[in-house]
Amino acid sequence: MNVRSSFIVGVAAFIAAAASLSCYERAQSFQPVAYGAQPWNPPLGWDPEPPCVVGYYVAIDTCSGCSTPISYALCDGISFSQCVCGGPFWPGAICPQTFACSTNDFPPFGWIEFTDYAGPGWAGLHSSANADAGH
Amino acid sequence: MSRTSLAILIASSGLLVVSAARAQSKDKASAESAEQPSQEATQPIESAEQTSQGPTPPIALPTRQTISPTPVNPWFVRPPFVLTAGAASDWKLTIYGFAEADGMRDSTRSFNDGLNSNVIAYPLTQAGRNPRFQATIRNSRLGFRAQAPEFGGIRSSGVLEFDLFGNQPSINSGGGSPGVASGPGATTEAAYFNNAAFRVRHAYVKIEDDIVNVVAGQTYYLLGWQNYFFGASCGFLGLPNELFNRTVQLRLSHTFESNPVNFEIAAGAFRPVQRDSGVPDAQGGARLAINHWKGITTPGSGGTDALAASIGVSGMARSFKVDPYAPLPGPPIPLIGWALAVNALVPIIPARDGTDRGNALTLTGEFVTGTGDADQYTGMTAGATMPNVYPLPVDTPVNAFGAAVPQTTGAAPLVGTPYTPDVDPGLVAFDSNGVLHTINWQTFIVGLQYYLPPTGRIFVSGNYSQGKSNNIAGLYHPISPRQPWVNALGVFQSSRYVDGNIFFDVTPAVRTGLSYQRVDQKLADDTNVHNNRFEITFLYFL
Repeated sequence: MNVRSSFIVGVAAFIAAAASLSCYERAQSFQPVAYGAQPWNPPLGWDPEPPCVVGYYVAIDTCSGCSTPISYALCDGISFSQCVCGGPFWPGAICPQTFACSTNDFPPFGWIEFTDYAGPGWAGLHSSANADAGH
Repeated sequence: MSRTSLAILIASSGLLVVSAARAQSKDKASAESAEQPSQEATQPIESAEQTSQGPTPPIALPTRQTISPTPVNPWFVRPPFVLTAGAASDWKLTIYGFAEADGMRDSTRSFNDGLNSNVIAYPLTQAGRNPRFQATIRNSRLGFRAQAPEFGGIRSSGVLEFDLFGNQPSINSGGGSPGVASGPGATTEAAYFNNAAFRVRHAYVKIEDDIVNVVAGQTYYLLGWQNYFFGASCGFLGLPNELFNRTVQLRLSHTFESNPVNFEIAAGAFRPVQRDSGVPDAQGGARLAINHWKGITTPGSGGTDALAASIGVSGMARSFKVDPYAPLPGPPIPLIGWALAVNALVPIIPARDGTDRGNALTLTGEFVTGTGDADQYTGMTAGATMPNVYPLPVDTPVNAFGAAVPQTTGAAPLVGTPYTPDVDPGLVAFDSNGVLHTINWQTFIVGLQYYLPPTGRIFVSGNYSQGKSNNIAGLYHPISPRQPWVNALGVFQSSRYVDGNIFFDVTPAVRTGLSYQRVDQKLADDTNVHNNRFEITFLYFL
């Protein structure tokens, strides 16, 4: 390879690198806060107060793709915008209030229940409604 | 700033063409002059026998030029300290370095002895409205370069180089400001400056043969082809907005050599900026040198020599895997950091060798764009910090010190629970939605150095640099109650730097210099701050 062709190859490599790097997404729009977490849109009327802090969950009745009876909406620091299926027991795990967790219904490790909400979307509300209907 | 940078690059290209014409005419004149025969070595070999003034920088790549056996101005020739061993005296140890004393006065209490890219104190604070004077020898340097005889076509050498910027406890902050933590420091000023600690700069082995050169160990980053394109300044490198740093690496390179030009390619694996990323950083580059068109250049305040006109491109790619700002374990957040750099060294008024300094004028320039690359600039975090605790709920009662008052009802929040970021500050940041971003930077620096006739013992230099981040202000907005770690008053979103320097070589081994340096910064809350520094320096080259 002579000098001229080397230079051309170098410039081409530089341009290719610049073009490919410019295609990178600077930050992923979705960054899960727990293993297995996925985007979650709260149901109509969802309005926990006060604003949540990262590390809190609310037990919910639906999270896409979950087969467990209980799922968990997770607060990312702004809102409950992610959800995760129930998981296995871990030492110190506490089942959400009013629930009886089966072996794969526990919240993610280290997360704490946000106890001040019992409105639309809360799994306990769904359970209570079913109980009232005689199911 | 992009337009400005582009204009400067275009202007530099124009100078390149004009200067090339001048170089050719000067070469022709030299060839016709019986008094000044051009007998330079055309192969740029890093040689222990080189006789340039100043420390022999242990730059692995690119290599320094050898000095002509018939120097234009023998006054500048200073023999190196070389110890030899073996029957053929072919085991060599070169001792190099310099003793340096500096005094600097600043208009604010924002900096230690090196400006680098630190944050200027907020105006109207104690640190922001009062001056500071410092005296230091910490930039002194000592190096050893060992060279073994060639075995089986393999040439090997090793370098150990140190300065006195070693890790030391912090000293008092000078009154404090939002950008400078207030406190007495962990040691005294006297101990800090008088008992300066040793620090390794370079420690590497270099193996060369006709096919490939290998460098393993700590030396300059490849990004920016350091240190070939550094400008001249009394200020401690790296200057603000200038690529300047070193780390452990494994680098491979090859130079395609010819009489008129050399073309060098290099690539390597570098210590990752975040070890939890699990993979090394990657850097690569190409550099073209025009061998017979040389300019006098001084990287920093020492090591003056004649280097070939050159243009270099280089790039970096790296991975981040940052722990989420959430209870752990959690999936690390993957991000990509990268940088691209273009550098040029243009001998506007060229020279024949490292001693041909009178009336030599050289331009250096660098343009860099990237993200998650702040560590490539010396000490540059721009004040960007990561959270160290989980946030307080909006309605959490706090005491007089801002700490959460324990709650008696409800679940215990994560208040006060430490969050330990597994990445150095200044590279990535969470926005107010909890999304992690790499911090973008775009910088350029240009420098001119002119060696006054007739001999060049007196020379002047000036440098100008700019740096700007287009997303850091949004990441560190001052009105952000969900980011309790944010200190927008201590984060800068852009900075400008300008300096002017005059140097005088008292003897071939002694150099003095005077310098004015000004730094302007725009903080994340749009406040403009600045610092003026006057510096005097004395160097003795070993």
